[in-house]
Amino acid sequence: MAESSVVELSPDQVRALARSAGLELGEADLAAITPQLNQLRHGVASLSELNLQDVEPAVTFDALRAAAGTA
Amino acid sequence: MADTPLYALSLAEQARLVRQRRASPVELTQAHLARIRDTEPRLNSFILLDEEGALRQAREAERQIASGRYLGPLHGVPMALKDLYDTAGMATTGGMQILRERVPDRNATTTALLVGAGAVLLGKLNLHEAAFGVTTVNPHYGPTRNPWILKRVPGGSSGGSASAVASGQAAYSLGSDTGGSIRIPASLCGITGLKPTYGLVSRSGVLPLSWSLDHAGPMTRTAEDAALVLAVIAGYDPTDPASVDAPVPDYAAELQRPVRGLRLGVPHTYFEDLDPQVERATRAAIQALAGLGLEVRDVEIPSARTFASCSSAILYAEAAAVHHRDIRARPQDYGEDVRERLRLGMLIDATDYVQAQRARRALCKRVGQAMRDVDLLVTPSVPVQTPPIEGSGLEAQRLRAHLTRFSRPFNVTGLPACSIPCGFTNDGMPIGLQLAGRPLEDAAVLRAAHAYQQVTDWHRRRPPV
Repeated sequence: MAESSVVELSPDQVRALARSAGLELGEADLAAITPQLNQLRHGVASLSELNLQDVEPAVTFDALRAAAGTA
Repeated sequence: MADTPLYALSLAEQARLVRQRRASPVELTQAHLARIRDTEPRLNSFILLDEEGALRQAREAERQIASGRYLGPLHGVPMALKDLYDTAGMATTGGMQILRERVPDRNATTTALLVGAGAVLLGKLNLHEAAFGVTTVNPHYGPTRNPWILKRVPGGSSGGSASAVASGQAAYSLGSDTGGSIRIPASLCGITGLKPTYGLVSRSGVLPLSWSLDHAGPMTRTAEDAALVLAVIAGYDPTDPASVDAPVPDYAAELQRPVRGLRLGVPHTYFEDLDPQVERATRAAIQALAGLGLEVRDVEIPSARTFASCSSAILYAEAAAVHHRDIRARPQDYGEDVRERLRLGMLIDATDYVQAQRARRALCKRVGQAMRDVDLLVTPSVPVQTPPIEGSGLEAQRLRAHLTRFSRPFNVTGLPACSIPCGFTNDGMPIGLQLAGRPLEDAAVLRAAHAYQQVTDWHRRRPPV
């Protein structure tokens, strides 16, 4: 796997991020969440190996159905 | 079949008895209710049991059938739903404390289809809180236990469904599958679980976890039973934005077509780092499928780790969006593991979410290319043995990664995939085989699973509970 360019977030940075999202995290929460968030960010960064140039995201939107209010 | 208790028969067998008027819906319902009374104190499969309502529905089915209005194979046969499916007038909690008092006024589309087909609803089944986990160790409604060894987890999130079907508490159930939540418990409890093609079965009225990964599907004893249920619940629903407007084949009739010549792809990297007993059983199952005339071929698809990275960013972010109000306002009302994961989801960068959705499209393309050369893919359902309930919270992240390793690729790609029993470990726990197919070729998946079940008896074994 290629070296990830993602910068590791520290617990203090995660605390600040959480506050901006309206969450108050205690020390135990931070200890649990910080490594998981870093791992997740590295995982997403590794997806760039797939060559995503010109690839649109796989989200769907059907304007006809949306306008009809059925979906 | 003569010596087999009614509750232990497959859906197809129970339906045959009803159609031939050799057993009545009331008799079947009473048999299941007695089985529930006997086993529920040990299993804890149910969140809500509706004995009175079930008997009322059974009597109505009996009247209809007696008057010549037979509605088909689900008519008068008792089932139970994962407590994620809305049931009009009956609480639907999602296994959550915050929804304990929630009583929907409408049925989910799938609930309505089953009711319309004459199904008898016994009650609502336990699940991992919010369907966000793989153990069904539920902090609000208690842990569901695996009927094969009570100290083990049934898997999740549809653990109550798997436990109930495996133990004969219900003839079949519906589960939901966002990262493996139908197939993992099906594998761990020794039943058949089908995650249909994304969009084939409506999720309207099913509490969401992750809109773009959620699937609804049947959990049954056999592939034939899954075909019977899928025939009723599949089809276009304009109230589900993901619903696919495509013809629904006669799944039961499709089972009778030959499997000889179907090309079975074996992605060899999905056979690395397996528990040896799982590997042995899976490879023996592939041999059995080859013996049925399937052509076995090596195939390359992206690694399970790549799928996991893609799936995690999407799942966590969408789940956080589903729960964003309550996780801020009432965090204490969530269990520790789900609270932690929802908070994690709140911190995911929007760019990472979109990148994961871009990667998803690229991954779908790669798998689609690989499947030009094969009709089906085969992997183990779960690479490890069934973990114990005690201590399942420890290293929960690692446990989740293990249990979902082979199921998540098919949530990301939306391809149909099922788990069927293919053996047992030395200590008597079921092992599952996963078969996956091309989009909307659910019938081919079920056909291969059914053919395998005609030459093996793993799916006929009953837990000692």
